[in-house]
Amino acid sequence: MSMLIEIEGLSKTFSGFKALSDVGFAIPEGKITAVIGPNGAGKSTLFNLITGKLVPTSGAIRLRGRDITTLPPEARVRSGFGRTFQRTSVFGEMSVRENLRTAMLCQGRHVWSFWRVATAFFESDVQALASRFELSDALDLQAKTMSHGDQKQLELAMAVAQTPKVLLLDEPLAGMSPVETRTAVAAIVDEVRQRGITLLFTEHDIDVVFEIADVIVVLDKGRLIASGPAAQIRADARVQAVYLGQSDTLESPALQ
Amino acid sequence: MDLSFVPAQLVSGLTTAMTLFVTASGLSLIFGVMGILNFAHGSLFMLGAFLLASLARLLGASGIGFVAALFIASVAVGVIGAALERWLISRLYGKEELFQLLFTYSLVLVLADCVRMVWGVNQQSVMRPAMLSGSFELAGATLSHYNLLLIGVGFAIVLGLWFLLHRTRIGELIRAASQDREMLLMLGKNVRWIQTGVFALGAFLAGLSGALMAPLVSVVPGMDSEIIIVLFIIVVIGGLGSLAGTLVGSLVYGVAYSFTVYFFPQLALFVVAALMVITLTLRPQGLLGRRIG
Amino acid sequence: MKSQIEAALALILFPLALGIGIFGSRLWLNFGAEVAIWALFAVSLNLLVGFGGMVSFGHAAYFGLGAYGAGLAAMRWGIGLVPATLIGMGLAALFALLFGMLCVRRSKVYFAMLTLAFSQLVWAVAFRWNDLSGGDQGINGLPMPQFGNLLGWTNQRWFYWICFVLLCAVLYLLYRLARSPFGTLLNAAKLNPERVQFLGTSVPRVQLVAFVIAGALAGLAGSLFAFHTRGLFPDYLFWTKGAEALNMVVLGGMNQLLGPVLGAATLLFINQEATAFTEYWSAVTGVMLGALILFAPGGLAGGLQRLLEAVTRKRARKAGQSVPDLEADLRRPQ
Repeated sequence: MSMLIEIEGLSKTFSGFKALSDVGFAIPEGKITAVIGPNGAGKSTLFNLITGKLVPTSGAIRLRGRDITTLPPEARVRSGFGRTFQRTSVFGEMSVRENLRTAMLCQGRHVWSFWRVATAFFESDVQALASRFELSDALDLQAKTMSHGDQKQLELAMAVAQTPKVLLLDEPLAGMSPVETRTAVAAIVDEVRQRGITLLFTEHDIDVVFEIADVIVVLDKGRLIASGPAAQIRADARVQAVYLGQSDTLESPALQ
Repeated sequence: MDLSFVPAQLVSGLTTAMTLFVTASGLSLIFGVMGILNFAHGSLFMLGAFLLASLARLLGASGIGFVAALFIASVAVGVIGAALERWLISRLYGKEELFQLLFTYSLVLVLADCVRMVWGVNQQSVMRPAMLSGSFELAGATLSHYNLLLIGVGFAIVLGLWFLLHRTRIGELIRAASQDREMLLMLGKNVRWIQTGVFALGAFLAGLSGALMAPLVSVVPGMDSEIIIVLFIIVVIGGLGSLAGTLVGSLVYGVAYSFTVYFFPQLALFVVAALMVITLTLRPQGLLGRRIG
Repeated sequence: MKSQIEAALALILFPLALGIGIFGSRLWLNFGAEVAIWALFAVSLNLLVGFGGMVSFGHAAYFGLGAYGAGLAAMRWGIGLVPATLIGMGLAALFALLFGMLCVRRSKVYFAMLTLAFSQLVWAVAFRWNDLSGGDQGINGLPMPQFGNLLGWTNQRWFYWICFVLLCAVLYLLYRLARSPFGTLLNAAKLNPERVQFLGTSVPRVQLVAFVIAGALAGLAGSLFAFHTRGLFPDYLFWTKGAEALNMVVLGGMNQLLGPVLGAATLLFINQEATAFTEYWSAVTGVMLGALILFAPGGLAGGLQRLLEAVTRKRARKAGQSVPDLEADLRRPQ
């Protein structure tokens, strides 16, 4: 199993508050890795460090051996990252079609195209992408008028528009009904398995995590508690201890 | 090398710095708590200066008369600020920054003409009261009594603001409001009064500094444009929203300006502008600012 | 709907402009040229404010630099309208690049402050540098552009047509720009800069290019203005010039390409009539601007849009079309 991303000794301190302390693990290529942990464990901070939104206080992040620790977000994205946000981040005022097209225009030389009409670009690619994510009927709808679930689908479609090597999803199932969750999980897994995309995501829904993750990383209070294959984590006493007292997972059959 | 100019310039710089701090602190406070950049802050400063000019004439040239004029002018500007906030500014909370910026900007236009309407276009002359016209020697520098007043008031405001924000209940609420307005609303505290109060306080400080500066600068329509640029330079250097940063910014400005004025009078403005550029390049959030800009 | 408003505005303004050019008296040609120049200035500002979401309070600097660049070149080196204008634009673009590099990486608030601060610095230089700029007195007596008696037209008529044609050319350029990939990304950066960043595009870089383009176009307007007034004064660089352009943008409608043109025509017209009544024009525009922000941020064009929407709704209800369908139609992004 080759490692796509290596994280070493990552720490982040916010004026005295240690959000992350000496976190290190590896993200295997082509597999699904989940980051879990109670609230305040540092999952978002970790995510922001990996995607480049924050710069670590110490430590390193390597992409296939190349140090990307201080690389700005747009450069990381161009190196093959795709990302979604906890609070769905799309272009609300634009149509679905325009959203997808913008996603495709963002990298590469098209940015500096000043004369040709944007609609001349990527029309067929946009339609193909939309149908992959069941958005074909919504192509001309304004993004912000769509349901929460549809918007998340759109965001996901935009994140994979540039065929990234690694997809980072921040709580992709937040605020979804059970039905929506099923659809979303299926769509995500489908997408990454088909295209060999490495997936890293954070989630509170432990059942989903144990259902799809190949590797699980557990954080608590800014520290790495455990990391490894799903089965190993399931049986790990430390992980059980961390989740004891967390009412939302206490009864989870996944941990029995 | 003859260093005799140093104490004099330091005094001059300190005077400028402390007075500008009084003005800039108001701007910083309003931004810190409401997130609004009050473009009209220069206009409120100007209003304070003009009000003092008229009141000083009215109340006589005695020390008491002058102090009374200072007080009334500052409070008047504070009240005007409160009214502006209540009826106009408050409509902008939560709106796009674009609109907030454009609106306080429109206030500048209106206030500038209001001043012209009431006082005309000519320069107002303001005499320092006899009591404060003298000077004395200290460490080789000539300190005018008025300088001392300015520095004194400046320090009083620094201490007063510190005390207000860190040692009183209201101050706690103000600091909390600047961190998270929504949370405060949920706790049931009356955020509206805090917002009006902070704006009024900011306006009061602008008016006070304008009134204090009136005898020293040319009180003329157009002084609002001058001062607002200076304020912007100060908060960019020091960091917007941080009072400690505003103090540092004011000191840097004051000292740099007064020393440059001594050597190259024409270049003073550009030296401080260069300082601003350097700060932006090396530390974009300002020397003590939070990472907002 | 948006393109319909655009068309409506064009239908109103274009014939008026043509009429002035063909039949206009001296006075009207003068007024027309002034409107065209200010419209150019306001449209360049709206590329930043309305389209890019970048609130620049220092746009006067580029207007003024264009004026001084063109004016001084014409006077010192005796060159004609076209080369002088190119020099003016170049100077404006250069400063837009320099200042822009320091301004575009900031939050909206810092951006506003910094653009204003830099603009006032340029003004301060012009104000004091007597040898170069004529100091606070300015310079008079710029040569009027000569066109011989080509087509039997006066110099004034020629100058009007040049300004008008340039305005149309710039409008077309901006029209293409807005619909281009670059324009799409600039607009996307206004809607959601974080999303653009995480799709792989450097937002500051895109904004910087827009800033330079806007600066160059403001410089074009300024150059023409110098020839129009045949003088150069520091107040061309004073921030209030930018304020006037901003008023035109908000009044006309910042969501439309032609909005600022309508705003310029309207404001200058009112200005002409109103200065007879009041010397407090600043206050009037301030109140107008404030009221617009609070109650009608879409400006005149926005009002026109609401009118058209109301009419369409009424007509549809009469025809029996269900209102929800119509709402969906209206909600479709343009």
